[in-house]
Amino acid sequence: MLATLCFLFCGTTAKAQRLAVGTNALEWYVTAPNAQVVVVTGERTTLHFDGLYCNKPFGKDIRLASFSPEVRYWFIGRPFTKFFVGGVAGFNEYKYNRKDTEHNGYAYTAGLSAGYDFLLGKKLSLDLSIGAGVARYREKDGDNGFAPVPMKLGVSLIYVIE
Amino acid sequence: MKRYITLLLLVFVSGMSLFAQGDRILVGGTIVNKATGKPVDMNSTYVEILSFDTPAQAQDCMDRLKNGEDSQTLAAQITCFASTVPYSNAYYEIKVAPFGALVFKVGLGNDNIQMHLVNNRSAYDHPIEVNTVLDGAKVTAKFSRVSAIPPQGIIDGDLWTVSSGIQTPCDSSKSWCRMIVQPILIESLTRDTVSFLRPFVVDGKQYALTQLRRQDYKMEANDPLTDYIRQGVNLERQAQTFAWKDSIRLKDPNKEYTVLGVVQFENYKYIYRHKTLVFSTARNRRPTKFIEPVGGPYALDPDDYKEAPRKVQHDVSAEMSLTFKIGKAEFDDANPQNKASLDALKEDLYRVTHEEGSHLNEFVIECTSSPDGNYSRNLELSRRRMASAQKTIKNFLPEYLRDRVYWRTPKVNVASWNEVADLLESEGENEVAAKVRKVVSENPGRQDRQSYLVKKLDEYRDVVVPVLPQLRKVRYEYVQEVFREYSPSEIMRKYNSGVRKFEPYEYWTLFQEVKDTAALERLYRDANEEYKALYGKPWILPSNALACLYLERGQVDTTLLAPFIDYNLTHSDLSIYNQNTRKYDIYNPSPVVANQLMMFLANKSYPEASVLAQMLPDNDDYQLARALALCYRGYYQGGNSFQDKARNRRVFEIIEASSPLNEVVINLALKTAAGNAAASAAIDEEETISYFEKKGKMGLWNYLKAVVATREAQETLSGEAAFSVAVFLLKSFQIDPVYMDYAAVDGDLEKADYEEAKKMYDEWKGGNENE
Repeated sequence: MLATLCFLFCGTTAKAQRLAVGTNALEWYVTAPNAQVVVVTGERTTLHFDGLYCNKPFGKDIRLASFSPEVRYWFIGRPFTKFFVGGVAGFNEYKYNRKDTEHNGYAYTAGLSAGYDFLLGKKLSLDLSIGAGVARYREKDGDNGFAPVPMKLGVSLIYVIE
Repeated sequence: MKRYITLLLLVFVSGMSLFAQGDRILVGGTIVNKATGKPVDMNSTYVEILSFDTPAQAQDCMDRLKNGEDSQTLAAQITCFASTVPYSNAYYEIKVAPFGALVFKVGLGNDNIQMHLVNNRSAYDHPIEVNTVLDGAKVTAKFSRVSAIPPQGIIDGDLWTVSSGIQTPCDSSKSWCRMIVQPILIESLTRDTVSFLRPFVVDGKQYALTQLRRQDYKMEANDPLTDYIRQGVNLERQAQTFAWKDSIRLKDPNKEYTVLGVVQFENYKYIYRHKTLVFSTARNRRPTKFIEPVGGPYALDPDDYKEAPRKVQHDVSAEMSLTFKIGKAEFDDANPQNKASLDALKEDLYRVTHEEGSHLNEFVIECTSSPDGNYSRNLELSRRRMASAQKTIKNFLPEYLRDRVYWRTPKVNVASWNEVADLLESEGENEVAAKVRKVVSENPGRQDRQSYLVKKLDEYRDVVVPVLPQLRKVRYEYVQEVFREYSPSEIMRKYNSGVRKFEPYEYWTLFQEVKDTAALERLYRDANEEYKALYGKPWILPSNALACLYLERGQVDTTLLAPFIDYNLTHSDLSIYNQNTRKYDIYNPSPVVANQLMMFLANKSYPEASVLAQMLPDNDDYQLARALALCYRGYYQGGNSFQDKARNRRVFEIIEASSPLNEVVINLALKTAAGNAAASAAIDEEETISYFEKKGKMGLWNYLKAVVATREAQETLSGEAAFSVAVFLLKSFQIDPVYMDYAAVDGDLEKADYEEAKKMYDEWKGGNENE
């Protein structure tokens, strides 16, 4: 539903879209395979779809599956070039233990992001991003509520597909 | 002792120095703009001069500088005697060995270094090319004026080769920007845009890369400037130089043109810098604008275009009044008018049938009788009377002709009572006429009834009856064909009688006989119109003759001869046998091609003229026309190959020999010292001066004298020559003020001299008006 809303919000028209794919090196560092698909929606806007799955990183009993769409606004007027700000949403399913308490549930997140892209070549960019927001969580044991969460921290490689 | 030795050593060393200094000579000169010959502005140009004892040392230094080494360091390492920079007025002085060399390093970079061999000469002006410089951007984002003077281009014929360069300061461009340069050709005086020249675009590296990341973006389809992007070069955050050069074909090289360069810098979002520069002005040096188009016009041989007489059909119609005996179909012999009418017709028919080249083709009679009496009887009577008349007329013709004439069906009719009423009205009998008309309107289609009622009118006998004979008439028509050539005297008689429409062969005769120019011009036009009406195409003989008239009085009409020139043929005077006419038809006759060439030259259509020049034969008749066309295109000097050089040399010689005026002008056009000297000698010859006087062109003579004096002043730096320029210009303006317009844009004259002369002229004019 969030993805649908994002599409509607972006108001894309039926054109041949410029696509890009990417992956966050930091997430790989914590053994969380991830992938990103980006759609160029305008001169200054892009729509990102991040997916992440993390299971027992470094042997710890943690599981996280996350899907977060993001809309970015590029100040310079070219996608994947220099500064941007964005709005991020997400759906996360998690399970982890903390202080002998198991937390198992899901969370909806929304927040803001910002970052900078370096041009590495005709199709390659280095994307630095950071984001924070609020999560609405609900756990299986009935615990629920709101909590501030970091939404994004990324050092990603983006490859523009023509 | 030690003190004396030390002193001796010092003297020796200083003496050595003095001795050494005695070997050097002081060389001085000015750093000049290569295009204008004027001293450069040292505020915007950096020049360093190094002197070397030998050319080999100079060459070594140049090589190392071009490899990127620093000049100051090299000056210390290589045996370089001195280095200096010019003064603010661009003058420099430097000591150098008499047969050493000077190296001129222009700008801060190492890409503009030239060597000059001294050869024991103490004066040397060094020419350099000057670029247009963009000032750095200021905080207010307003540009300051361009500091460098843009170079002039060179106009050869109608081709203007212009070059310039743009220097961008180090803070004007970035890697995510694009620079677009659009050169625009404008007329300097009116500021009208003539054309947009080919632009060029330089992208920053990042700009170029990020283009492809845009949504739905393809360079070829979405970027209209793709074809103009310079490859292999990017905008960078440092001072850069971009050269630009173009060759422009000018429609009218006599005008002054300027090339403006609109320079625009834009980033991804907006245009952040926009400036218009002057790339080049063509204050042109083009003496060939005064070339006199001597020679011509070229007439066609009339005998080659004689028109044969053709059959002409004449339709003749006439009326005659014949009276017949009452109620009979016999002529009334008592009426002398009958005999006279018939005799006249007989004479006419005799003439028609016996005239040379004349034939009677058709004949028709129309017989009309008056309406009084019974209609049917009247009609029958008319028929019988018509037959009688026709028989009489047929007997006028010889027997052998009677069957050869087409006797059209005769027409027989009875006049109506309304026609009677018309006659009555014409004689003032309106009342009676009204009565008659009333009878007719009350009894439509009933002629007998009408006759009966009209007869009952009181005025019938006295008023109506007298007019009835006028309606009894015989009318005839015949068609005559004439096939005879009239003699010139007959044609002239016909022309003098006021006739204005003739046959083509008659026009041909009139062209030879009529001498008045205005009348001839009218004849040429009329002949052309008649010919077009007859044959659907214009006639070459009067068209060419009209073109000759136009050329003689300086009128231009390039459409007149255009229909007679086939551009698919490469030569003139192409003779092709015509099976139908059994004659040779000449395509692209040389006189017509030559006249059209002269028309194009008068119209300043030089490319078109040069096309025709290639068609014409290279013989004595047309070599001048060809040479003129080539001269206006600049083909009077130089050349890439031996053949080109020989051709251009020949063009020069032909033009030089064509008239004293052309001799002066073409020598000036060479723009060489030898040409200037030849022009200077030629212009002062008595023959030349009297030629100018005879032509009423002393204004031009003085103008050319001013040009010659300017060249002399530039070559010899003679003050006397420089002073005389303004004097000659003033005299030229006084004789003909049109030369002020020429002088205003003439690169052969110094602007200061023109302004001085104009000032003197205005004072003189003001003085004259006050008097």
